[in-house]
Amino acid sequence: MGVVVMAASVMGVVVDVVGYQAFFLLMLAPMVFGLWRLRSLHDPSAR
Amino acid sequence: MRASFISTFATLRHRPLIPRAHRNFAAGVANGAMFNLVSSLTDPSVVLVVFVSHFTDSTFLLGLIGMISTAAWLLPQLFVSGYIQSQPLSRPVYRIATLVRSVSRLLLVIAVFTISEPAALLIAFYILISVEGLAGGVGGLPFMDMVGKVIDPARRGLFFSWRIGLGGLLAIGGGAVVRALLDPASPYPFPHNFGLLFGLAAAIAVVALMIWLIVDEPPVAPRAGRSGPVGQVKKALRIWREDANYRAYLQARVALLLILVTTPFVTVYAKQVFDVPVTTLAIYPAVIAFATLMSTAGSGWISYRWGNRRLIRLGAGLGMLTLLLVVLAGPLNLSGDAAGVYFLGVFAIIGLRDSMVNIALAAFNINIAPEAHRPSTSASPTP
Repeated sequence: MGVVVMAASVMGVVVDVVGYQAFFLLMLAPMVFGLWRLRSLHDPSAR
Repeated sequence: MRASFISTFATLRHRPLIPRAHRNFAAGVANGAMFNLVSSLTDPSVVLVVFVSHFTDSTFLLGLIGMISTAAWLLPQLFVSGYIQSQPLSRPVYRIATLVRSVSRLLLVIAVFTISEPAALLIAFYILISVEGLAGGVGGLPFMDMVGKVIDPARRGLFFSWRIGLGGLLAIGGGAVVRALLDPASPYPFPHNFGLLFGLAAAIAVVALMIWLIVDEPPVAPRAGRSGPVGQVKKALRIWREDANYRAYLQARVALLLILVTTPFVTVYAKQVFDVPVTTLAIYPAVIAFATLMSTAGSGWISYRWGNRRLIRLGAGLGMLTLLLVVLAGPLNLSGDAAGVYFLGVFAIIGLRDSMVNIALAAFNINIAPEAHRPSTSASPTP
């Protein structure tokens, strides 16, 4: 987990390459992926 | 009569003035509330980013601050968890982490007041916040272990609510201090204004850490044999392979937590592209603290009523909304104070988002972590 977050430090380089607006739009992708993975998760707290 | 009096006196003499459970509870609340105040004074996403932006416009260096604060918290847990499980007491590890954190904070204050060469100051800054963050990560697990030992399970919800609630109020006051010191009209010019801010945060952090050390931690029999980081990684990989539900959770968690590391870039974007004044930027940590405070009770209710998955969905939805609002700021052609007010709204939503995502992920983690491996897998998602 920590390693993954550390790897994310390349984000600064991504911002330099694609610009701020494209970077913020790109960050929508992991959110969509996270929500998709969440669908297959059994939630013991669901009522 | 005399014997009875002596007996009563002896009993009173050996009874602590404050019951042990109350003292432990109060120490933990004071520790958490004071650390919330410290976080508002040295908020990585805003205060530290503004400090570094005085020296460089490098998005890599500015973005690195948020990454360090997150990664430095998580990485040491891999190395410490195996050791903690094999020890009867967690306090010695917490004590060492406290010492390292205190010294690194003190050295940062000295560095700001004494180093005039920008490159040298930046190098010292990154080294010291990394050391402080890593020591925080080392101290995080023993802290949670001590909470598990000294706070009654039925009172843990109340315990964390008090820490967050009282801490949120203090953090709003901390935001006012940040604004006053970073104001261009402040009698303390750069970098001494930041030096004072770091010094104040260091003093409060040292007191907060010391307060938690007064807790009476009962020794326990070692819960597992000592295992090093390689053993912990092997165990984690085995869980990853064998438990599809936990694998899906981890993938979702990593993806969703990436939204948290975009916050420093929002600050830089607001400052560099829209000329948001530093005095307005200085309010943002207080705005985040206030929004977090407001959403904590609501998040708890949603988690209880509708389940953690819906809470994460709501948090992720707010995360996507913040990204779209930040992008939308460009076509709106905002600048200066108008942009400052616009981003104030964005940071309020960021506070709601962070609270929801953190609460839901932490609760989800404990709920679905395999029972036998819970000490190895239930690390806190964020500092």
